[in-house]
Formats: sequence, structure tokens, C-alpha cells
Amino acid sequence: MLARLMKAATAPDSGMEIYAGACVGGSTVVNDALCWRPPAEVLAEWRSRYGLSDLDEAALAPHVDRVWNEIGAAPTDRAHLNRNARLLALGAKRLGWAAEPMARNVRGCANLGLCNLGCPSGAKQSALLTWVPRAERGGARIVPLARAERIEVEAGRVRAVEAVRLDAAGGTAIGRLRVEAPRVVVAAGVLETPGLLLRSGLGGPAAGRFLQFHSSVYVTARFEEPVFGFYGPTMAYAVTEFSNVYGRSGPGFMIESVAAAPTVTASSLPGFGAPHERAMQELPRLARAVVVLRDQTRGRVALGSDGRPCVSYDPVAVDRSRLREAVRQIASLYFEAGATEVYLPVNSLRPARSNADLARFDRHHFAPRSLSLLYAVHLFGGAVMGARREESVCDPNGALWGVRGLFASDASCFPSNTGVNPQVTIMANALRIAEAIA
Amino acid sequence: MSERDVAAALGALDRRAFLRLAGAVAALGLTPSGCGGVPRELAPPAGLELRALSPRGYATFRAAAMRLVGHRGAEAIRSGRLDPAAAADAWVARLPGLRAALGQGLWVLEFGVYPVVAKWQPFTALAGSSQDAVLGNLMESRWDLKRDLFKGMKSLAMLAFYAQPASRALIGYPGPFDREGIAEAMSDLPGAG
Repeated sequence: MLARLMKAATAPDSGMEIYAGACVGGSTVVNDALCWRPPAEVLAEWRSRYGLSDLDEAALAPHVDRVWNEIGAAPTDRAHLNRNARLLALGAKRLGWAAEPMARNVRGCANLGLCNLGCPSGAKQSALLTWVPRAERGGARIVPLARAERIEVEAGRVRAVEAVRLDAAGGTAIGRLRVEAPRVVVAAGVLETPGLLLRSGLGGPAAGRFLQFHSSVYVTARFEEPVFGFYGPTMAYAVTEFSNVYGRSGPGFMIESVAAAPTVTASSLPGFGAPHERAMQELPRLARAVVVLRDQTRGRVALGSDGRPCVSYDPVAVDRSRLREAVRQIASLYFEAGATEVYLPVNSLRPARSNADLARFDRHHFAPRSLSLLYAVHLFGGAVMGARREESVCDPNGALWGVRGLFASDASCFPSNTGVNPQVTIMANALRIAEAIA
Repeated sequence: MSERDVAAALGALDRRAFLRLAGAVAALGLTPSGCGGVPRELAPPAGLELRALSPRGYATFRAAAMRLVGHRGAEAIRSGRLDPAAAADAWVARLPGLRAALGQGLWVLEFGVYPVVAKWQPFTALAGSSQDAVLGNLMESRWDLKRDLFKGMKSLAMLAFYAQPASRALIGYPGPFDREGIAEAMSDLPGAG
């Protein structure tokens, strides 16, 4: 089951955990349904630094609008803001911080709190319910439980994709598959698209480079009143005060409400034993928020000795510093909203009971491995688009340099992170590339 | 059962990391500190057919989980109401690439020598307070690999424990489809505006 839904990895140099969808429908099946339009600042950077001169808001707008409609994106209304989200809103309001409900791609949300587990009510309009059926109606054939191993190129033109068929558990190869095609679009995600290109000896020196994440940590707070943060949309409200997109010039992180489901809460709370158990016994009174940091770090995807993607990513000092600042700001927000305790994501620290207690946190060495959980919430790069062949894998339309008929069309071809949850930008860019191919 | 959660735990239990950890332990001359049988209360229950873990691996995981989840959780495990080691065994059996990693991690935890514990014994033979000292040492170690081992064990233990419906009563979680709970979660908070 795991292999059919999620892929997990770690960056050995930092212990950072990395997740990606690995099922039909990809990460849209296991994401939190959040929708943001591509930020103008990001597109401007892609134009000025990476030569993607056609990628401006006007050019992308028709594709963004089409995505927005197709997946049913709309701002979360008040009826779908759970107490978890409202506490974030309350703290932000009292502090005078910019904040807003996020748009989500749902139709008929039942508030189950299971968005990121495939949404059993079928409300979330993931690719599995939108683009995939549309493709099938157009004649596409879906081959699940298959892993692309190599792309065959002949005389500078793509010829075929070789894949292995996997058993139902997703772990054991039970057969081979070869698909011949005049055009191949690789959209295997930020771990596997570069991995596939590298295994195939394609992509040139930039293959696997310019990897970038949105780094993430959780902060949990206890309130006197029940929150029941395990119900309702898993994510719905954002503090944008510290963002550096959409006209803001903050340090570059968002704070978003996130569900207090038992398992993920238990894993992310610091420490173990009796103190951890006491915190878990307060689960109905816990609220949680997550940092979405627009990293400056750059990492790399390479191939391990087993031919599988191997990630190198060690947050640079400025990212560690901004993560620390984000954690502190969340703690302050929660105290402003009336929290009685805030569980900081550092294993050896006791919960803070007031802003004064945060001094302990300020003094603490803030290293990735001292955190209870540091993970990559969104992944970008590894097969980046660019105007210069020596610094990119694809041209500005996603076509691989030097291989006719081969394209990359997922977040791996983004030259940098986006500062916001990226599914709309990924889909819109895919439509743009599809149009260029057609 | 949350696939995302298992992915989270197993992300920390990366095979390559554990291989390096096992190698580092060997390189440091940290020889096995005991190879006797495991205590009876930690052994797999009769009738449980392990698919990924060895009996000792099961016992080590069970012992670690009992310390990690706290006193009430440990009681639930001891009484047989919850069996996180069996759950972990079933999950990892479906993930052949990670089976060796978990086995190696448990081997290191069981037989590693920890300066914080006066007696050199397998982890499963230590008193609870000594086991806590070992886990605390792993958690706060300056060695990255030891902290990775703690993180992986903790994540998998927490997930194997709290993913089971029998744990819900311990934490006031009514389960995923409770209408009253959903209604309360979506209602106004006093003063929230």
C-alpha cells in the first residue's frame, strides 16, 4: 500500500525527510488541496535569472484559469474553517499580521480531516478525479504499478521507455514493459524525473542539480478549550505576513494551519516517554501549524549504487535561521490566541508556557537533527528549464536539450521554489508545455 | 492506516543511513554486549507469525515502543491490547527494501554499547530507567547517526501505536468519522471572531 501512495526518502547529510506521491494521480492524491496562483515575483525571477522569457503572468494566466476551474479551486469559506484554523486567524488578528483563508480544490468537503490520505469522500479534486479521467477519455491508457527505468534514445530522438511491472505491494519486479513513442513526457516527480534521466544518461551536467525545497517544521499548542484539530480541512488558513511573494517583502515563510491527526502529531511532538504521553493525552485541545519556508538552499539528486535517486540537501545557515524565526513567530501567535503551552519542535526542550519561556529556545542550538521532525513539504528542480543549455536540462518549453521528442513537465523543471503550495503552478506549466508540444 | 504516516517513519529509517550506522558502530569497536534470550514478556505472542522482524527484533522494538509511548501506553502494550511491534512487522513486510534497514537499526539498538548505562547488556535486558537513558542518549547525541536511529525508532513506534484504534481511548480521539466531533471542530471558538 505504501508504495502505491507515497515515496519516502531522507537527505543523509541533514536527516531531512522527504515525501512524494507515488500513485496514480501523484502528489495531488496525498496533498492538502491548497491552491495558490503562481506568484509574480517567482515568474519574474525565472525570467530574469533563468531566461524563461515567455513565462509571465499574462502568458500563464489562461492556463492558470483553466486549472483553477478544472480542479474546482475556491477560497475556503467560513463554514469550512475549523477551530484549528480559527485559532491561527485569531492570533494573527491580535498581532495585526496579514493572514487569509487559503483556496482549496474541493467540491462538497465533508470535513473528515483526511485530505492528505486520499480524501475518502471524493471531495478533493485531485488529478485522479480530474486530469486522469480526462486523459483516459482522450484515449490515454494508464499502467499502474510500473516503474520507468530507462529512456531509449536513437539518433538524437526519443524512441521508447523501458519499465518494470511491480507486484501489488509495489516492491518486487514481476515483469518488464517497453513503450515505443515518438514523444515522451517525463513527469515522475522531483526525485524520480532526474533519477530516470540520470539512469538513461540524459540531461547533461545539470541533471539532478538545482534541487530546492520548501522546508517545514510543525509547532503544536495546547488550549483550554477543545480544538478537535483532527477534523475539518487538514489545511485551510495561512499567515502571509512573513512571505516574500504576492507583494510582501518578509523573510520568506508562510505559516499554515495543519491537522492534529494522532499519528503525525505523535511523530512530530518533541521528546518521548511520560512528557510526550502527557501531550498526546491533550490531543483534542491541540492546535498545530506548519512552516512553509522558501528555502535558499540548493541540493542535488544523484544516483545511489542501486540506481535509485539519492538526495543531498543540507539547509544553509540563512534557512536554519529563518526556520528558527518562523517557529518563534508561531509560538508568539499561539500565546496571543490563548495557548497555555507551546510544544517547540526541538527534542530536548520542555514546552514553553509564555513568551518569556521562548528565551530558552533562542539560546538553543538549532540544528536540523535536533528537531523532532524536519521535512521537505514541496520539492522543485533537478531537471530545470533554462535558456542556457549548460545550466539547464530543458529549454524554456520543457524540451530536453539535444533529444528530440523528450520533455519534462513537473516540478523538477522549475528553476526554483515558488514560496507557495505549488500544485496550480505545476499544472498550469504542464498545460503550457502540452500546448507547445501540440 | 495512514500511508503517509508510515512513509514518514520509514523515511527516517533509511536503508543507507542504517547501513552506515551499523558500519560506524563496528568501526568504533562497539562489540555486541549480550546475546542471550529476550525476556519472556517481550517475546512475540504465540501464534504471531513474524514476516519481517526476527523474534529478537520484535522484542527490541516492543521494548523501545513501551518506553517511547509512556506509562499508559506501555501498560496497553503489556496487556496485549496494543501490539506496535506486530504492526511494524506487517508494514515493513510490505516494503522489502526497508526490511534490512529496520533489522539493522534494531540490532544496533539491542546490542550497541551505551556509556550512559553502567551495565553492558542488551537493550531488552535493561531496566526501564536504563532504557530511557539509552533512548535519551540517542536523542541528544552529537552523532548524527545516533539521532537518526532515535528518530526512526520513535516515528515508527508512534505510528505503529497511534494508528491502532485501541490507542484512541488513551488520547481522546473518537476516530475519523465522528459526527459530533466534526460539528464541534467546525463551530465557533469563544472570542475567535
